[in-house]
Amino acid sequence: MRRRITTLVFLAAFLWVWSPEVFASPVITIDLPEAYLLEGPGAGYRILCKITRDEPLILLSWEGDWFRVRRPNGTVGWLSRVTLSPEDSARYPGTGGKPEPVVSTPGKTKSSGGGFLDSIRTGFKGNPDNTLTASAGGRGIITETDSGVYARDYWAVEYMESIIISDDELNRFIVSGGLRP
Amino acid sequence: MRVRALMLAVVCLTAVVQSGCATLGALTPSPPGLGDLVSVATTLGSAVTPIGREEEIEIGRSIAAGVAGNYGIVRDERMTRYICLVGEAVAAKSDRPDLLYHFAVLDTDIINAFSCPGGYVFVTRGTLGIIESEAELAAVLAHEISHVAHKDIINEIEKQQFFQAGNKVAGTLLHSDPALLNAATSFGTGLLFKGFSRADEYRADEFALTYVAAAGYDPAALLTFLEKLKDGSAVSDGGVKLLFATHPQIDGRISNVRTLMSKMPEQQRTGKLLAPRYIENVRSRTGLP
Repeated sequence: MRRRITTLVFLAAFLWVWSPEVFASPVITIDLPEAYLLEGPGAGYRILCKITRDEPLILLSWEGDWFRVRRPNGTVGWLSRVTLSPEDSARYPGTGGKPEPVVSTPGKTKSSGGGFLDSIRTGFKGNPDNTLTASAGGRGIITETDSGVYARDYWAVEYMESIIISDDELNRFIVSGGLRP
Repeated sequence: MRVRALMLAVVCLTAVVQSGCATLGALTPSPPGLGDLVSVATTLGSAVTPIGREEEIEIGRSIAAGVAGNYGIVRDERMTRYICLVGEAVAAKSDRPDLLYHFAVLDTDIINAFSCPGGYVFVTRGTLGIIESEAELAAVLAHEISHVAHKDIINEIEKQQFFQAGNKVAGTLLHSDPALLNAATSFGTGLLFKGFSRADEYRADEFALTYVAAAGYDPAALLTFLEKLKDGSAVSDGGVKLLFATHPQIDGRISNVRTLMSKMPEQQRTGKLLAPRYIENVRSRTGLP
């Protein structure tokens, strides 16, 4: 019985040592002059904003090489491991610490709900009656580059991707136009 | 005895784990600015590869979002679907028929068309305004599809120093490094608006003729479209200027296309124009005469 208790104590001690959360410091900073905060854990996700080296970020969770953080202004997003200092990167190793559920975004572009991003979405006029309309204003995240400032409109890209032409439809189109199959 | 063995195992395992973490930390590359990405790529060694199809689409998607953000897109599903059908008919005859192409109309009066890596193709509302047949639309889209099929932007990105490590290209790093994806996007977007090289444009015209003819359209439609651009009365000054800024001299392109057409077999020089179908699906919906 005593041996079992001792074993359990050591196992518990081992798990305590192993848990990355033990090392978790609530605040991290990036080790670059600036970096992008993304909407999800991957380079394909939308850029939310730019953050700077002196900005304290509250670490909420991490998944592999992606860290979910909250800015002082409340914005929550994901950072790549390569933006962290070697010390922070080593402090949070492995597959991650129990991340909060990530909202599924098949196109990697949808808002995780509400607020600013949804207000941008409503900026588009849509085409419920199939009339000629155009996207208008608020076209995504403003990005400043060497060639100027522009916005990335991932909703427009999703719109493009949403139009799927089946083989049957294409064949009918080709045949009806007398084109070469 | 068992407990001691277990303790020893735990201590050893913990030491190994912590040693591993320390090693990871020591090997973690200095967080890169763009200039430091070469060292990151070098550190990763065998993980460094050229830009693959998945990465190409990732870059293209990002560039396309920038193009769409700059102009906005026309959200008329019927018209966009028609543009897609024409584009798909031509793309099926291209050098990359297996790629999933996407098409959209940009909400601007300027005369131009754009293609992004991975199959994202745009034509402007202004361009649709001077096009008079489905064959001309097919020719414009075919020109852009050729840029995609021959990876004209991807090839230029791969040449850039920020994307290279020794003789290799940091393709796989795109998935883990947003700075690299953004650098590639920024460079690709700049190239798109600045324009391709004269050689790339001439080659795109050459393949456009081939694709259009293979699809069953009249390849002379490319010529008639280019001649409309030369005739400034057909378009506004702003549109012409922008087109000239991103494409080589129209005279040279017209001359090149004439030469290429003269070498085409007779049976390939004939095909459909399908002007009524274009008017029904595009001109009548945009309120154009």
